Amino acid sequence: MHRPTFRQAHGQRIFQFILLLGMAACVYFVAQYVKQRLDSQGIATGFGFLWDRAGYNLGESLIPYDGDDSYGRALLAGFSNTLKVAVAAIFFSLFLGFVAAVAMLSGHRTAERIAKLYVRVVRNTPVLLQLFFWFGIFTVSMPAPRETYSPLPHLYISNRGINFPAPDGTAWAVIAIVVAVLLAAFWLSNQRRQAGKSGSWIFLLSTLGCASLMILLTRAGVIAFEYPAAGRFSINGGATISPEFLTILIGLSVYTGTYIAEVLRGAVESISTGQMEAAQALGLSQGQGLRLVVLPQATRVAMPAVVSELLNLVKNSSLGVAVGYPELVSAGNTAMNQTGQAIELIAIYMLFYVTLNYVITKLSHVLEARYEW
Amino acid sequence: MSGSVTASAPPSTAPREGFFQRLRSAYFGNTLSTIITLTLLLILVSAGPAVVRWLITDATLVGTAEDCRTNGGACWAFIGAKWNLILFGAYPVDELWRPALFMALVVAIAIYGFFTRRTLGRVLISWITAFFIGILLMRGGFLGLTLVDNDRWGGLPITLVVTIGGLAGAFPLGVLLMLGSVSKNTAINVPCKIFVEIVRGIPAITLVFMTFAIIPLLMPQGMMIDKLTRAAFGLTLLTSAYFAEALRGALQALPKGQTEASEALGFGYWKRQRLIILPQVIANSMQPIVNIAIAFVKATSLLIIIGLFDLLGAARSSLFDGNWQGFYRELYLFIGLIYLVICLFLDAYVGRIERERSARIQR
Repeated sequence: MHRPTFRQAHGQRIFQFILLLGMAACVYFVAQYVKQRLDSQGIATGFGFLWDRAGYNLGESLIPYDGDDSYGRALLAGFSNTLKVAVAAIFFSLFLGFVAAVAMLSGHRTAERIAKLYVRVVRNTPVLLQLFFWFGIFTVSMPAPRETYSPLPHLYISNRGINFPAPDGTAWAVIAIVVAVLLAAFWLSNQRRQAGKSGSWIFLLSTLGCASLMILLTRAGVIAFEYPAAGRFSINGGATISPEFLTILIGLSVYTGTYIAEVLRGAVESISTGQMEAAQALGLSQGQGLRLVVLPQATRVAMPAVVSELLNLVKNSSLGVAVGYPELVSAGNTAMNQTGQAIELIAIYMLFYVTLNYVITKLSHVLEARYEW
Repeated sequence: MSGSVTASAPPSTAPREGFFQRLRSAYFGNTLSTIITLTLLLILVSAGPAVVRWLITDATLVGTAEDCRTNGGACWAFIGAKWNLILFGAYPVDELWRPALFMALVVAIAIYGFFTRRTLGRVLISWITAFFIGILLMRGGFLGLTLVDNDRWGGLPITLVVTIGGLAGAFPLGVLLMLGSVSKNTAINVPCKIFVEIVRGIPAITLVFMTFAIIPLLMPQGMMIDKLTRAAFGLTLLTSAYFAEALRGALQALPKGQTEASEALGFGYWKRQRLIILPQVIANSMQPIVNIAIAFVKATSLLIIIGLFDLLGAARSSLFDGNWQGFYRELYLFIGLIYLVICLFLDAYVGRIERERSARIQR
């Protein structure tokens, strides 16, 4: 047999090795060069600045933060704001996407056309343009604090956002307990229903019980609220939903909703009509066929695409920087302007978003595996 | 029991349906459509009149800001008064014919590409020519044209220049990244894959910030790349990763026999890619490619965040005129329409290419 020459046997590997070596050398020299350039411009390197005093305030923060805290804490506060708006917008966009998909599949001509128009228009214009539009709605078009609009007592809508009574510490604890009880009741009633027993009453009863408990506790003064008061130039006290938050929330939900609607519609349409006909031939009603046969399969088909749209939503929340919502990129940019340490900060952004992508994709794989058969 | 499955619909016994019956079955046929109809009616009754008033009856087509305020409706007069700022930004007013000529050229090429059955190559070449003509024309500095640096460019021409140039740069880069990421050589495919994954994983704006903020730190002393080029470079990098991913999907769908057959015919790597693989891969991924192009047009609006005046940026700057404050809705509707036309054009364009192609394949 022909014995391979040295080059034939090892050529590929040697080529790879040389290439790797060359790349390592390139990285090394670029790093050296960058260090030297930064030194000559008087810009520090490394992540030490994260512990320095930031000296700037953020419009709002989920975790306590003020200007005397460090840059690291400012980034953390921005990160918490990203999560806050992302979680809320994910719920809203799923809801909007679901409604639009139902409208497109309903067979109702007018609803179908409206939903298609919504999807076409919103998908073919920049999301940033839409955010500016919403920002105008929530600031320019809303009344000033002194002529604030108050649809319910203690609820104020103005160009400073929405102000509503803030529950105090005890109230938060009670709310947390109530939510936990309701979730447990929901789970329990679901379990019973799957076992073929009636279970809705558990959920209904606990809802009623919790509601009356809340009213009782409020009346008795055990839990208290801090009420907002409308002043001439601002509305003080209570809890606030800022216009910036509303802009990102509504803007991103409306934008991402169109993508989710299309994914859901495509998924349902990809489940062949044969499935529905088979379900009906087996004696299931239209609703049952949809719920038990088509939707489980459609969910499985739609899941990866929906997850990737939700990831896009989280990424788009970085546009908060354009309307002044202090999310991660916005909080980081001020630090970038102050310290000049662009490389480190962009590395932090990348680390955050790539990790987030990784975690959510992995989670969705776990979820998908549950739908596997 | 045979024949137990009966026909799902009984033969139609009603020969003619009246108008009202048809209306009824279309809008109140079942619970869901009844609910939808009622909801839509409710929205129409509650919001309809206000919208009609704002959009039509109270709208001001020509006039001053005062007229708009007294009429209370949409102020289209604002667009009329500020159109040159909205469309061209801070470009010198006396020289506006130059960007206008460029835009006319772009429209002409778009129509040419749409209505003639040319090969894709010729259309691409005309786009790239338009790009260079546009840059030369707007920059000037020759044949008696005054020099206008690109920090004074603005509006729609910037959006168009960045779109054409960025896509023209991103596509070849995307092809190389795709080829790299499917390469058998680990030293090539791992860096390519890492690049594609990271870029696709981070928000577009961080990449634009990166090229915007980091490139000047690294440039040798005395050398400067202007803001516009830096930012456009960021968008190009971003888009190349998306192109790479879309093309890789199409490549994986390509039967393996194509590669094997061309290897058997003695084609070398580059010749094989150029003549056999890439033409098929690109033709099969027309739809994703155009979706990426649409995303690019939309992403050019990010330039405003780093202080450039693209279409959105220039339009927004017109809002700062104290005289005309508060007419943001009219403005954003107007430029939204421009973006919509561009994006829907691209969408229609790919539809046309796909139709022509399927007709060609069937022949």
